[in-house]
Amino acid sequence: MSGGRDRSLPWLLGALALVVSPHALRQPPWVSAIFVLFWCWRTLAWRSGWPLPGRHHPALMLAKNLFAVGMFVAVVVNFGGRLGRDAGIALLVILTGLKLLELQRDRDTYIVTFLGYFLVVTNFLYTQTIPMALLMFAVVVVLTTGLLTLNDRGAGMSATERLRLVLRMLAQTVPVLLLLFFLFPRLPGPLWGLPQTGADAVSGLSDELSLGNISELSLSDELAFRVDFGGEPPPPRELYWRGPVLWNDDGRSWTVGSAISQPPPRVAGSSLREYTVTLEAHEKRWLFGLDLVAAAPPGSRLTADFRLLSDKRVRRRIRYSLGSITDYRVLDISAEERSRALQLPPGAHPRARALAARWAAEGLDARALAERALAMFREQAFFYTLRPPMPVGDPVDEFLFQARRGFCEHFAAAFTVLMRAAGVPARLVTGYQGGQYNPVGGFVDVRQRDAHAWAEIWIAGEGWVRADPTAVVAPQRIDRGIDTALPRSSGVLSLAFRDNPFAEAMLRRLRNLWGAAGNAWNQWVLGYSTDRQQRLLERLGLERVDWLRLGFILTVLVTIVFTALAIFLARSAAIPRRDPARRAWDRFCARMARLGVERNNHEGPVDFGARAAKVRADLATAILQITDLYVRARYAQDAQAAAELARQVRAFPNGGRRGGAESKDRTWKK
Amino acid sequence: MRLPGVSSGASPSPEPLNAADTLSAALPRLDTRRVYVFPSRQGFMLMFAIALMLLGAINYDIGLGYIMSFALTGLGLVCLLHTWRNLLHLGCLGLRGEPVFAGGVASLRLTLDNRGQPARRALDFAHAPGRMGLFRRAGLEAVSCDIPADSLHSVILHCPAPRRGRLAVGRILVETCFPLGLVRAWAWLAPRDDIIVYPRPRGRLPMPRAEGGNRSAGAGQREGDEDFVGFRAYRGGDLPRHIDWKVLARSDNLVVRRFVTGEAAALALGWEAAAPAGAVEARLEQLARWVVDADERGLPWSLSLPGQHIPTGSGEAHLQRCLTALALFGEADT
Repeated sequence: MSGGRDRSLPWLLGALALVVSPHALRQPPWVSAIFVLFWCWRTLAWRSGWPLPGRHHPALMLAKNLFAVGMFVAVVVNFGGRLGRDAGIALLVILTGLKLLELQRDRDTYIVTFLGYFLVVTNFLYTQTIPMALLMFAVVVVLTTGLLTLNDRGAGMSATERLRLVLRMLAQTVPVLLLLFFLFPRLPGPLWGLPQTGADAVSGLSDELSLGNISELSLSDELAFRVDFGGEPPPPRELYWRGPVLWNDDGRSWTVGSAISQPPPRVAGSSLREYTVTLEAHEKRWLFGLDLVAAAPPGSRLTADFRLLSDKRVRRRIRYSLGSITDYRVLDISAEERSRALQLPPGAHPRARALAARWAAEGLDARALAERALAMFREQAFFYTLRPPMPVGDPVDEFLFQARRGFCEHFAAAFTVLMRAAGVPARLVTGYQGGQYNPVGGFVDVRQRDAHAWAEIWIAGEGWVRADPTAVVAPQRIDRGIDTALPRSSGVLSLAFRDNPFAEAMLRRLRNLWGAAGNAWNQWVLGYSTDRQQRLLERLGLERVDWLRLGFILTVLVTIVFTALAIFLARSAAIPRRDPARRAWDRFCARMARLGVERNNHEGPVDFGARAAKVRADLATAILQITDLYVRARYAQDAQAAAELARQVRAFPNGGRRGGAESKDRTWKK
Repeated sequence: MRLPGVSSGASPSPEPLNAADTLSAALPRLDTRRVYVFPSRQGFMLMFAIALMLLGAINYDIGLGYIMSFALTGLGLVCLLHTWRNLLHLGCLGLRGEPVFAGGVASLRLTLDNRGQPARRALDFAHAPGRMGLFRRAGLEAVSCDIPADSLHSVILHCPAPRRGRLAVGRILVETCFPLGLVRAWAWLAPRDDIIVYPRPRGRLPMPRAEGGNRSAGAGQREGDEDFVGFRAYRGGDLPRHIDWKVLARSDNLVVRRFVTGEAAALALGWEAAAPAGAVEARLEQLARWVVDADERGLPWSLSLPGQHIPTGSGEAHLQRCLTALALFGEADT
């Protein structure tokens, strides 16, 4: 009995190492260290006979129990007395390590295995990516093989056979899994309060812009959101995804400031573009849409500066549909907006203000002033770079008159300051620009590095007009995406394929495939919710089914699948497929049985053939021939005989189908 | 010592076991209605774990948590079918028990028919006459075995034989938790065969005198070469052709077959002679003692019981016949 337990141990140890390793990156180091210690102890006990706590070592046993209590206290203290998610997992990891030391009975092995299954799910609390899913699948395979090894007490199966059986069982699980996954009634919302995860390292735009922030974002490859236009997307230069609008300048940084209380002004426009956005969690309230969003989706509202604000913080991936007016014209500006769009901190940016005052003195109108500023960026030596020098004094003046290098936010902020100083209402808009179209999935990926900042100025008669000074300095950034503007050293692969256009195209294609897989994964696996289930059911023609009926349908379908599998398993026989002689012989015996001559258990082929030939004298020749062929194929390894046998059996009358023959022949038995 | 089969109890005379004999006792293969399944303790533990996972998945909205819970649910269902399949279609060609003396432990050889079927693993067989709970009862002595694919296989079980007579084997429990231990499948084999249990050889009465007067037991025999009467240890001078080479090959003991010439004095073991032993059972035990002793000494004997007389004879077959008659004394013939 203990043989199975000992042989299952390496599987168990391997699976636990795999399942705990992702936690090691997130847990305090001492938790991982304790687990590693116990793990190594158990491994050494198995390989080199180290003592384990137990009946034979009562001192160790006592030490272990004291340790368990100590650990509980340590975890409570370490996590500040709150038994939240992380503390719970720390306890679980330590408990699993401790339990490894007391695998006295089969029951303990089961408990540790089930703890392992549970640890798999705890990993999904943090990441649910495809690689993580694959890793956890491996864990499940190894854990289950451990269980199988435990139960294969006779040690009759090799490791390969055991793995194969586990994989086969898991494959047979798939139909039930799919039914349960898609049809199990999905409950909306949490059953109890979600823990406060805090703003732990979720990247995204911030509602403050102090020159020097966005460059960090620019290099992050993380997905911000995906957009499905239901076809070809607009060209990149039209893809301005509006985020926070910054009104307040305090001399060094820009902020949103207090909310403007008015409803959004009236907008004129004729072409409406509709699309669906899948937004990653970013712990903030704003939602992104193309300029300008026509109406807010449910659960959100549109502000006076056309930002979309969700009612709640976006803590999980959400999906919403939008319509945007692409040829928009804003018709009104309120007095409050006008005054805030002209605000400048007293005493800040003296040189910029002086320059703007000179321009204003020339009597230019708003549009001409903007052209003048853009021309300055274009014609003078301004450079687009992601590594601008850190400003020491007034950041705008330093940028405009000394450094002259910067990225979108420098250009946009400087432009806004110049416009305000010249008396043109202006505001700074942040968000994302561009995105990469994935032709495989038919969607646009917008990543954190696509973050952008631009300006908007109010021109009488035209409304708010977008002005993007970056487009003047680095037009390729706008037309072809940030990739062209970024240094090309990101990633080993891209470096290796730098000078090979064909390989580069292949690489892009692979990336697209991976992106499409990721999208399908997000939509169908991770984002499968109550709504999507309803939609799926509607598409299947089951409109408005309640829990009860859904449960009933699910039960019926699972029963059908289960029964089919039962029949399949019950019919599976031991005869290897590659023994055609035996198969042909069995078929012959079955046909004989239908003819009323059943082979007795004790009858070998020769005896049976002789008896059958006597009983069915009319078929005697065929029967004897088949018997002879079978004997030759079976015992003389005569391959030709096997082939001939199969042919003859096929030709042998399959008489059982005729009821008459059967009833007549029954009298022959005995 | 190999005792011949006594599976068909009607005739006490030993018969070589033949195929037809076995087949007459063959049970139908275990079909779907006779294999029971129920989750094991571990199965319930896993269900509990799955319920926790599902709660977590719903609460934290973890898509992969749902998948993990449903995958384990599916695995449990698939495991149930595999465990069930591990017993399904197992045939039993019957049971053969070697006769045993009362108070001993009978060995039951159960022949299992797995022809045309895949391998079965970790089957537990136990002789379980009483009722059982849903979970396996501890203390039941089980024999565990794997059965290779497409084969006949036999398992030897032990069951105590406290009283003489026919021992009905009753039910044999076969169960398995393979492959994952989450589900227990079991079935009952109820072979109709029974085992003959001989009376325990016991009693202190002296052996009755041999037939034919005052000669002491064995006086009329001479060592010779006519009738085989038994074995004894080798002594110098024994003929090499009397040496039992088979025994030598098995055990390193030089044993010679004893033959006697002339009329051996036969012991008359009778019901009346055993009367001082007491009641029926005591008498039967005394007679068994004598029969076994006579056989050991290589003496021929006859046995008479009320309504039954077994004429003088000796040797293994005779011994069996007499012991069987003692075992079945007073019981209905079939």
